[in-house]
Amino acid sequence: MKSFFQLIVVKNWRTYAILFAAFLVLGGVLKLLIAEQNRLIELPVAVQNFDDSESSKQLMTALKKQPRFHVTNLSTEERYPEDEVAKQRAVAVVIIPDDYEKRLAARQTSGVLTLYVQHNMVGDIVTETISKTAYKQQLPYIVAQHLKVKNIALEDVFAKYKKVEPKGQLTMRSLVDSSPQSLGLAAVIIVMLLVGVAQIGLNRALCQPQALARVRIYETNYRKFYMVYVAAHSFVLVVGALGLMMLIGLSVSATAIFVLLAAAVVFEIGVALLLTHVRTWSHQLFMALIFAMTLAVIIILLQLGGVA
Amino acid sequence: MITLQNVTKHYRKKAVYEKCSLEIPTAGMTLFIGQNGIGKSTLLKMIAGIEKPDAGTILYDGVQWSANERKKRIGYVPQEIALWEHMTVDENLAFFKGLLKETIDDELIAYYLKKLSIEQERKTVVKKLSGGTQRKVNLIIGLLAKPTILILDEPTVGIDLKSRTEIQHVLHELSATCTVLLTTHLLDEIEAFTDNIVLIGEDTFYRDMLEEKNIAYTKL
Repeated sequence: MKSFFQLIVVKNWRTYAILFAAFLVLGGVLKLLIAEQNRLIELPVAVQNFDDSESSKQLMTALKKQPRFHVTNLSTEERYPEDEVAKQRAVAVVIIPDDYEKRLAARQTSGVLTLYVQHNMVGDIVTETISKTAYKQQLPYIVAQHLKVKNIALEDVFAKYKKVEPKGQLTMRSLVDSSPQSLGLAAVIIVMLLVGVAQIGLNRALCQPQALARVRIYETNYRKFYMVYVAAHSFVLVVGALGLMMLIGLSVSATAIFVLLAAAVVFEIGVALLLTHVRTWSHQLFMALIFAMTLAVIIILLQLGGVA
Repeated sequence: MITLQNVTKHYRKKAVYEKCSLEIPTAGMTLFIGQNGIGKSTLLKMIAGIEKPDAGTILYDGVQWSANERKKRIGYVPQEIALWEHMTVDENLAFFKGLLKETIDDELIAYYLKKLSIEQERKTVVKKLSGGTQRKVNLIIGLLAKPTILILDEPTVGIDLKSRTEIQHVLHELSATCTVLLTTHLLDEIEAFTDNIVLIGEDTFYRDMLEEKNIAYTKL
């Protein structure tokens, strides 16, 4: 076994380094693409704040915390804020008047915020979110208004409200575990298999028929050769694929590792057989590619729940 | 004694051997000669256990050996250079040594390397060696298992006279303690190793040549 480890792993370290590098490069490229994609689905919202008060700053902070919102400050010098929407630089423009805090305190909030918004579904979503945020800010003032007769100060209401603010009725749960039927995982497996095909070119040194034939004189079969080959290459593919998953933000779970390992082992058994039984390099490459694609199709079908 | 009893071997429909019997004496050198494609390599591979006869038996000192026994006691040196080209001579020796349980010691390896004038090439990558040096390393790998039977398929083909002579000297030395079987087409080798010559095939060229030089032979 030591001889095979020396031959397949130690003398062949460049193959593993190149495979790792390929995964890192691919991960980096995919990360950039995903970041670009996320940027495209951000909702640009411009805020023109004429009121230099705590309340207006609070509202802006609350808007900035909204998922997918990309909030920018619009200068108060800007005379035509609606142009931001018209020229599609923003989905919505919120204008906070200079008496915003006063009107909040006086409970005169009807029409206090001016909103320019795109007239489409995205505009509706943004309107709804801004409306919800503004309403939430008003709640303590509404409560204080009702408690005015009992001489309870607004500050006390704020303090109490902070403690007893009702929690949302919806239980939000993000799916973080990779299911064996996750399409993201399937995509990673397919990338892993395609990267794995490169070993046909990288492992030319292992494909020496005469030396392999001599191994058979001593070993009767290639069992140990296969074991070391499949273990070493599966390890590299799985670690590379896990690195790729982490780079692109897919969660890594025991299930994901198991599915990746199973796919890698099946693929590597095929590649090891090709290296020892097919002599022509181009035939090996073609057959490895076909094998990888066949496995990929099977995996995609499994993710989609099989053929109807 | 290696005994072939009614050995039959076919390649598809072509009969290479049909109920052939032969006795090869223990120790000494046995040469197999005959035209190309007549089945010399096939015969050696069957004796080495690399190929199985379709029928018949091969006995070693009167008994059949298991695959494990053959692995331990037979050294086979193929006609092709069966070495890892990207590894050095030492790395190749270490690799094939690692596949065996019992091997010759490092001193003996060093002795063979010196005897074959390749001790300076130990750290050289095989693909950078000359054809002759590669053949010499190919031979030493076959000796690693400390074999009692050494089988060589054209061990000196395509190399210069000096290298050939060095290999022949080593084989001569080995034949004192080991049964050495080899195939060759080279006249100087046939003249040098006249212990036991087996002529395979019906071609009259080899028969006439052997008779002309008064060399005794066995016909298979």
